[in-house]
Amino acid sequence: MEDYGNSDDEHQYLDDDEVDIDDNGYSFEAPATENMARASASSMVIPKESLLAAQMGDLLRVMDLLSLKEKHARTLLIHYRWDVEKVFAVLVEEGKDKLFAQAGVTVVENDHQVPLSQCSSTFCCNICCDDVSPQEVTTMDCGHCFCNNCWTEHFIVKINDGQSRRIKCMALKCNVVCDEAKIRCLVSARDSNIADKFERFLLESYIDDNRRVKWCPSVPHCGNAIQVEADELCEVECACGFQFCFSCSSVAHSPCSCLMWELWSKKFEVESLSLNWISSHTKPCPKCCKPIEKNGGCNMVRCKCGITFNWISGLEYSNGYIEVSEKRPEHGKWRLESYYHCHKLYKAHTESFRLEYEMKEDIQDKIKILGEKDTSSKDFGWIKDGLNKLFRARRILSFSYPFAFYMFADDLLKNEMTREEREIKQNFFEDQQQQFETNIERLSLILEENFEKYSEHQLKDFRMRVITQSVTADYLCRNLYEWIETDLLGSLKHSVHKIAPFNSAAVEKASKIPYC
Amino acid sequence: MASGNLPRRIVKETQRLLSEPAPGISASPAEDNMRYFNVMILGPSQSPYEGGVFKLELFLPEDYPMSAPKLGRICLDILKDKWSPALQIRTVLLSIQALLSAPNPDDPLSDNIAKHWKADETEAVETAKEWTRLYASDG
Repeated sequence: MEDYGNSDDEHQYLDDDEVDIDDNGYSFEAPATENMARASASSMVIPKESLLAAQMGDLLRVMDLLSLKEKHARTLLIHYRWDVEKVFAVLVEEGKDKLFAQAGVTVVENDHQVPLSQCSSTFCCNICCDDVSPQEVTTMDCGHCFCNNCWTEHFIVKINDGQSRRIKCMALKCNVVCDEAKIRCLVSARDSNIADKFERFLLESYIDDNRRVKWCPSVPHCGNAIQVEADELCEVECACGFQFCFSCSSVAHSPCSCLMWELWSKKFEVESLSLNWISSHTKPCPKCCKPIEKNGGCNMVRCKCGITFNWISGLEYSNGYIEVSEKRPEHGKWRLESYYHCHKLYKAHTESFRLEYEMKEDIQDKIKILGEKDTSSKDFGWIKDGLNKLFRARRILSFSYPFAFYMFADDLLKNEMTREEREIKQNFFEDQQQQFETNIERLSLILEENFEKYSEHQLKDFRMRVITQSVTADYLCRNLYEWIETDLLGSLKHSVHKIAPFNSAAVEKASKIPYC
Repeated sequence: MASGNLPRRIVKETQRLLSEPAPGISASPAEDNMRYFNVMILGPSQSPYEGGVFKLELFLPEDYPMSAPKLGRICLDILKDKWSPALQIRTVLLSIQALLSAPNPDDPLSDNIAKHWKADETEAVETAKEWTRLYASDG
């Protein structure tokens, strides 16, 4: 990619570049099989202080290729949303003139101001209608000339309006973007605060106008931005530790689609308060699942749906006697029809995730103790690996509840499946989910063991169990995820719900940008 | 007509609006506020609005001509993102007059009327004529 300056054959260069993109695409989707495979580096962290350097990288590529000044390269890239490949593609397909015209770039060799300042008579500005001396006017690259005062006011109105990036010439129907150096010069003479604002907007355009770069949505904000290589549909982890969905900038939520997650979080916010009350004051009916509040009387409770059950045991009465019901909602197979249920389990698993995450330090301490012992192997990477697999599996499990709610219970995808189809899929889903859940709990239990006290023999056995169980959990995780991705979401006909491809290396950790 | 500290541009525009008004358009500044204009636009001939007189209020904001004149709720691109300081009150009013000759049902203020216009233009034109007679005619 470095030799494009020498090559006159731009098409050749573009071909090379396209090969590069394909390579990246493949490496992104290829399943990283072992450990924390971060080498692929399809996402990068850009700390605030490196923003300029990152922006310069792209600017230089365009400046070199088209022999442009920085200001023109920036205008071009802002127009094409910092997509250097797109600039090159337009250049090849439509030519330089069109490329420049679309972005409002005019490159002039000679400066118009020279002849104007030579003429001695006064100049009448077409905007304010005042006569000014030729020294107080500015001509833009398009050739339009107005007085400095009008230009300055025009710039200030636009900057305050949040339009710093593409301030157009004042002349009617002129599409040319004003020279940033001239804007800077005129505005800073009037108001340095607004000039600073202008600079900041220009700099941040690299994030705000860039499809491949986003601010980390952490609160309080860590100051970092994340750049991804190719695919917008991915989940990344910022250097600050925050994991988020690159596409919607909220917390990483797969296997929920962005829309599902948005609906869920709104619903969750509104309903969790009342649901808290419901869960502490009511019990669900064993048959219809509706929450029931008991405000007095004996323990024989009759639900509106017609059944009578024992309040304490939750068991159904039949002819006055308790009949052992096969399915009790609290212990039995959970019912997707009920938001209450999905909500409860989502919350429970999110809480388990939090607790397990806290276990991380504990485990590191235990590993340290082991390391000080006289053991034959000092490599405990498998424990960390098991823990990371547990984190990922638990996270996916928690989000599989809101997913299930929208997939099977809510009306969101009502028109996508017949009732029979839905039931078949739902049963299969619940089956897999339950198996997955059981294995996560097993892995969690194993990792909780006090392995630092183990003898060499016990440790070997522990190692085997950790590895086997984490591989099993990971396998089930991948199965469930890919089934959701391809069969459930992939087969939707009327709506689009995409999720980030499964990557067993957990949410991708963004690597540090190389030039900082 | 005290012009006070009125920018030269506004003074010049006002003078020209009064001395050589555009056909079918009159705009005169209010006595107490030279940035406030009472506007009358005649319905263009051969349009359903023919014979009607349409009254508008136009206000020039502090940063005019960097910002567009304020004109109430009219969907016109040059009053929004396509505004250029090189445009004038006169050009804006001419554009509004042109809009009366060729209404744009794709960018309506009222959805219902636009739907009506698209579904049955003949009938919509009749309604427009009727309303012009009822609400936009003198006497």
